[in-house]
Amino acid sequence: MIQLNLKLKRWESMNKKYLISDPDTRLVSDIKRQFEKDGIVIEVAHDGKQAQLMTYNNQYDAFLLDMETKNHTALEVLKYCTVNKPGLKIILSAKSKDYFVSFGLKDSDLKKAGIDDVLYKPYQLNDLKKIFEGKEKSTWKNIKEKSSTSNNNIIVEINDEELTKIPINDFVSGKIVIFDCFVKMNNKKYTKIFNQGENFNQEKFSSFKNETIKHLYFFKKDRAQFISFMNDLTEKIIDSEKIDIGTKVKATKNLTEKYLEEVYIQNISKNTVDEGIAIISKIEKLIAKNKDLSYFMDQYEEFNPEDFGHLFLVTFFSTIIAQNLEWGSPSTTEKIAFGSMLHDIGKLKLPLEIAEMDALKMSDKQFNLYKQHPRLGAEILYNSRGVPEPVRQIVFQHHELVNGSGFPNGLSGIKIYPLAKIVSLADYFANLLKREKCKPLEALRIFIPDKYEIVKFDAEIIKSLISGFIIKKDKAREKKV
Amino acid sequence: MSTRKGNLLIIDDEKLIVERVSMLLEDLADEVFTAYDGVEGFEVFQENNIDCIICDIKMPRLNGVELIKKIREVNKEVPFIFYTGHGSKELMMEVVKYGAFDFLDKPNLDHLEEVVERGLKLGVKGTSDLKDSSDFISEYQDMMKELDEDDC
Repeated sequence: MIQLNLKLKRWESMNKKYLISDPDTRLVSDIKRQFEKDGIVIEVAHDGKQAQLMTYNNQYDAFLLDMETKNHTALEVLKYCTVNKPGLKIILSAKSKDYFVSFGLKDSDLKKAGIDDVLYKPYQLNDLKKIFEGKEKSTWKNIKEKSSTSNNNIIVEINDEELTKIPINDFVSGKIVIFDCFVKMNNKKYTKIFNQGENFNQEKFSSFKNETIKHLYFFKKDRAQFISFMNDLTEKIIDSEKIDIGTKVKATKNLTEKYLEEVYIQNISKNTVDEGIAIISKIEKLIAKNKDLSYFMDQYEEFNPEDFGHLFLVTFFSTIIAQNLEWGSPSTTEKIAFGSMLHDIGKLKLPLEIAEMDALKMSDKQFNLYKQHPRLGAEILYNSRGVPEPVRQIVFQHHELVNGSGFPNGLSGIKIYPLAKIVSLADYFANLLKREKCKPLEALRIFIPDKYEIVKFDAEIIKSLISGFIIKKDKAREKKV
Repeated sequence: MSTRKGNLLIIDDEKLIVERVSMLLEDLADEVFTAYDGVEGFEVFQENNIDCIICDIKMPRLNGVELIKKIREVNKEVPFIFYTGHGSKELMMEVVKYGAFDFLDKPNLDHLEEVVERGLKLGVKGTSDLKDSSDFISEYQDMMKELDEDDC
């Protein structure tokens, strides 16, 4: 992997941006005047409906919502934000503590409902500022620079299960290393090559890259940090005109796989839904901005179809399909991509040997168990906050087939949720690639003449899959000429 | 080709939601009908030519699942869009058996127009001329030829 040698600017010095919805215009003016002196950006919503629109269209570091908000009440706005913006920090303000007590609500109830803090009027602007700034959710931006120590290259003993890995050639760092990094010597023995917070040393890093060292390891507890960092970095990589397509695809793939590892192992939380949506936007952008995906089609072997690689592929193909549908839209594509990422989450509840087995090789008994995973997955998501209903339905229905031969409900034709049909085809296609060990175009040549398989999928969606490849190939052809 | 936009039926026991959604969508449909529970919804459906239904899942007298089941007995095709709140897992997993066109989470009104527009189009067009995907194999193969040309 090319060392990007990016000088990442310290994003924590970027201006904070807060949204306020409070009918007390005088108070809002005071807040705006006071905070803007410190370079903080305050945006004001005049009512609840506008507040919802503004949270949808913009990113805010926090949202102050007063209970007197009208035209979409504060409760409606709060419900909207907890469903659609689960990562948003929300502070409620009310005229007094009695306001909530009268509804039988304690502070702990409000926290459970997704509120980060509560202010009672009249409050001091300094108190508001402290709450706004508060304890930030852990991100890589909070890592403080430390001087390099001589405590490097030591051999440590760590349980393999505590660590996760990425291909060493795909590792990128900013100026500061955001987590402890290791290379593996043998079972449980690792050499620590970087400490969290120290300056990244390219020369030292390169010295570790050799034929035998394939992966860089870090603690699983730092995975969220990695995801947060790579989410920000991958945005820049994809937008850059100077970085080649291979680097862009690899960065996006590694980010997606690590994110999925976090979701599937740690479970879905308020923050992970937002991170997932940010990743989806990158996949969409990658495909939309780089019509020539010949790199991907030729270098397919590098995309390990095992584990989370499969989920990335399904997300990738379903995004291609969605972008080529006549009725596709950004919001539809987002739901489809998110559903793709999560479609196999129900396998977490299956015995491991069945979860990892090829369905075509299962006994009847094993297959009957396997057929439960869409329902199990939907149930997991019904117990997770912030997951939209369309995504749950995709997970529940992703194995339903148009000719009625699918499961768990044996639905057919128009009864199947249209978005689930897309993921169904993308999933089948990704599995075909794995089974046949072939490139995407070869898999298409196997699939299209197969009448037995074709009838399981929607005609419009099959055409969109083929169209996706045609557009890519056309652009590659133009480049060669 | 039909130039009808189609008729929309909105069913929800929360009157405020029915009013808001009606106002938001009135330009998308030829006519917007409303009802405040499942029983009333079924009556309105039977009395009018409805092309798309937006429906809550938890309603008094007849919930969304019971309603779609009843309507499917008389009209297999009309698209249903479920506009749902939280806490209805069992109902949502039951409703899929009867074929829902799309789902939206309350109180989110974003994308409702886009979804309803698609639903009305499908409702007006109908699905009687839908073909099996195997009927398109020669069309797929023509598309594949474009890909194969590169390998020559």
